[in-house]
Amino acid sequence: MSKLLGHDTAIKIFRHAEESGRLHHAWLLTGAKGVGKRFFADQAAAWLLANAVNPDVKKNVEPLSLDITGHNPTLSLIKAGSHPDLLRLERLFRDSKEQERARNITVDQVRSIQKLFSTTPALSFRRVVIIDSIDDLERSAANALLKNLEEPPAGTIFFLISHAAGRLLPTIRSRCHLLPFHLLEDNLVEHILKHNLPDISDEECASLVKISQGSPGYGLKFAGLDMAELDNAIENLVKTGDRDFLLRSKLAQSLSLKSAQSRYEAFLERAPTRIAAEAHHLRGEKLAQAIHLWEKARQLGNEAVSFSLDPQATVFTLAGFLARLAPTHK
Amino acid sequence: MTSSPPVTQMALPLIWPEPENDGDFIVSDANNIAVEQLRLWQKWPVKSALLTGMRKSGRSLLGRLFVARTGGELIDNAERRSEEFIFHAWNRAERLKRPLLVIADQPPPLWKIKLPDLRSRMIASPHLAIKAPDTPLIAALIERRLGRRGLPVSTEILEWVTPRIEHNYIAVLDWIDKLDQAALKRRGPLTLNMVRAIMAGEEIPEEDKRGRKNIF
Amino acid sequence: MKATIERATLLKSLSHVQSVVERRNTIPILSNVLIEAASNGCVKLMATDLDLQVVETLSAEVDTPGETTVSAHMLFEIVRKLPDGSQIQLSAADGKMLIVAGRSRFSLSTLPRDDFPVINESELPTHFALPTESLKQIIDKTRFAISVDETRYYLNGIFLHVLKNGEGVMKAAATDGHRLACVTVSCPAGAEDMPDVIIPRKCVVELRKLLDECEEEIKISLSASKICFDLGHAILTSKLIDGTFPDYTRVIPTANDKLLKVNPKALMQGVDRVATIASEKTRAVKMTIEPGKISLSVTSPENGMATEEVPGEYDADHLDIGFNARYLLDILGQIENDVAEIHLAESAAPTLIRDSDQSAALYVLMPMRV
Repeated sequence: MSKLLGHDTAIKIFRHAEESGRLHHAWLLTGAKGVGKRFFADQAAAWLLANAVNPDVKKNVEPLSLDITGHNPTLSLIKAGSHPDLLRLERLFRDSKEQERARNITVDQVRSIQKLFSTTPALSFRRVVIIDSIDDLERSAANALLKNLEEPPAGTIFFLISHAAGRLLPTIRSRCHLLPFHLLEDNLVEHILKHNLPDISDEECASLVKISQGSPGYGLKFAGLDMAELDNAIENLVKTGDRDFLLRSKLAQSLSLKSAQSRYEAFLERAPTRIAAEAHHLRGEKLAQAIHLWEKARQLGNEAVSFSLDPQATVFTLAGFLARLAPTHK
Repeated sequence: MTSSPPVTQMALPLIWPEPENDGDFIVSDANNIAVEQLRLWQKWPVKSALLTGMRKSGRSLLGRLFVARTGGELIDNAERRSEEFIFHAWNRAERLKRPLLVIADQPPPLWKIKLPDLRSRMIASPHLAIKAPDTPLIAALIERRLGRRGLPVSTEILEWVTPRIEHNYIAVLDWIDKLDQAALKRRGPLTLNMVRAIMAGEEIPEEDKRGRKNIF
Repeated sequence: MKATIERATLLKSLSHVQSVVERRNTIPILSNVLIEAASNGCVKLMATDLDLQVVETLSAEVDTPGETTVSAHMLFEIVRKLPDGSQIQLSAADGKMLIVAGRSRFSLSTLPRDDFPVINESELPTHFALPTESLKQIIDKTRFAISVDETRYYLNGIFLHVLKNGEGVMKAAATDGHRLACVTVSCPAGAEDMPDVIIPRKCVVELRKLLDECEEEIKISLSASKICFDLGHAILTSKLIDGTFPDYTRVIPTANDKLLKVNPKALMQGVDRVATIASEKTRAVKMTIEPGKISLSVTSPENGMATEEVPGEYDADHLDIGFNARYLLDILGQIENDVAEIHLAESAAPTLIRDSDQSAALYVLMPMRV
């Protein structure tokens, strides 16, 4: 692991709580996708579990870091997924398609928390549950979680990750200590991207910084997808209006190839973002039209994956929305 | 089909110990004034106070938590204690500047105190009353007690039960035991259908594979 | 690591450890067995399911001490199929373990030892020893009553506790809410102040498998969160159930005044026969008890009816009472004497069943409403 950058305040609050012995049992980590919440939860979990076994571990860690350096048995177990006192819930991979995750965290997954709690902890007094993300819980799963959040066994800490805390059940929010994660400055984003992608070209890095908009994890998803080219195609649509439908046909064809799955998904995310960016420069009726387009694009982008819509038709439609932004378009 | 009553396995009358700490007393509109006054005991005009409430209202638990926190003295079931004993305890509390909490079913004059000196002292002491349980308290009691026994109760069940249940503590606890026994008989989680049947006074049929699917 | 082990020795130990390993594991390391070869000629095999850990120690010829992990099931299958009497050489290096026996060679991929979670069993504060026979008795006479309902997870094990009143007895109990089994043994030295513990079912099952090959005494150590059984050749360490066992002593009847004495075998056979026609769902058998005889009957709306008379010694008032046939058979099957004592009160009250007032085990069965 390495040091989590840009979230000194969160680290400070958490470490202070732990060191003063007043650690809240449930932490709600909120903020944009890709900003560092999962990284924090993983490090904080390792921190708690490793220090519970050996209180000397923290002596070797800088004050504004949770990064345990060097060889540590707790880290090895967490990495292998075999730590008996750590439970991580996230959307499972679908049986049929290995690359694809289920739409929700199920109630059965949440029940595995009760199973963890039904026996004593194995390696120390500490147990940690990470839910990534709490937004993915199906309704009945959220209700089942409430019982566990209400009265967890002693020494148990929850980390609940939320990208949209506003939509959470108030009963869950009220049981948690809120820990907000802010967007990062562009230079910090650039630093993190370069650290994770040592071979990245300056051009691609600049393009990814732009895409990240403060969330390096979000930008990283588009690494190696030649986003510069995709963004070029998007710009051409917006600039020319694609009167003869040639650009959108070509784009739809190239993104519908099986090998282009990741670029296709990137396009589904980029198209609505591009429309939103354009809307910033518009006024009056043009603005209203752009917002309408953005809503439609966003909805289509979301449904395309969850309902497995035909990629070619989806790209064609989305490209059409982009083309309608062109000034030449009537 | 037969008209004979259904054959059912009865459950052992197991009793679960209730652990006790500050978090175990559920504060609601029914008791928050009493709780607040106990917190501010140093502002009482005298060192003693009278706490009243229905049986099973949590009055003894509240009293035990109070003396554990303040180091004071507790006299529970005051009606059945010697009046001289309470009288001396009252005086002792004033002398040692240590709180005394007297728990009774009802305040004087309904609590008939014969010893005039004790009667006047009790009337001069602040009276804290726990009222009948309100709906949120009933819901919290059911959820907490059954939760401790490993039985999760869905919001759906709580919303259905609370308006239909008599608002008194003994009735609520009876209900908790009934729900518990029913689930134990079935050896599975509680379902709304089971709860409806119990409310209607029906026998709970035994473990039934079809029924077990309706947990959520 | 390099060690040579006799096939039969390795096979026996592997059969013990691999039964702890869960068959379908999503975490690769948990399918593996940890092999540790020490320079003193000791090889340890360790397996875990994160709740329960077993360590087998066997003697071997160790050339190079070291440690590695390989698939427990795979290694077991290989060793099982190798010819009896062969010497098996295990050597691990560079992410592979080589198994050589006679003309057979296998190369298995390994996972790092650091990925393998090990529960430390050496720091448990309470130590005592129980005769193997007592431990067997505790398990055999209570395990059938362990609950399988996961909602009440604290009933999914055997409750072991020492009475704090100085009577010097240790009690083991299990209940599923319908029946209760309880065994009392004398408290072993060192256990006087032990915390109450609930031993999970899987630990009970694995422990029992190992007990038949054990020496006379089992060393037990425990804390409020772990229990460890030292069986000589093997050490079993388990997490405990994190919950409160209900106060079961209050459901053991003390004033049941109607005593029925009956031959358990005869009653079992009778119950078994009439229960043939009982509906699968209820399995209810009605007992009509009068001085001198017991009438067993089953009435099934679908199948018809069955009755049988069983002799018994009884001089109290006439009583009709119903029981789940399977529960009754489970309990009667535990009675060792020729006479079982059935202490009854009424048709809706807990019934006490035991060998005699001298017996270590007692059973409480809740009737059915028939």
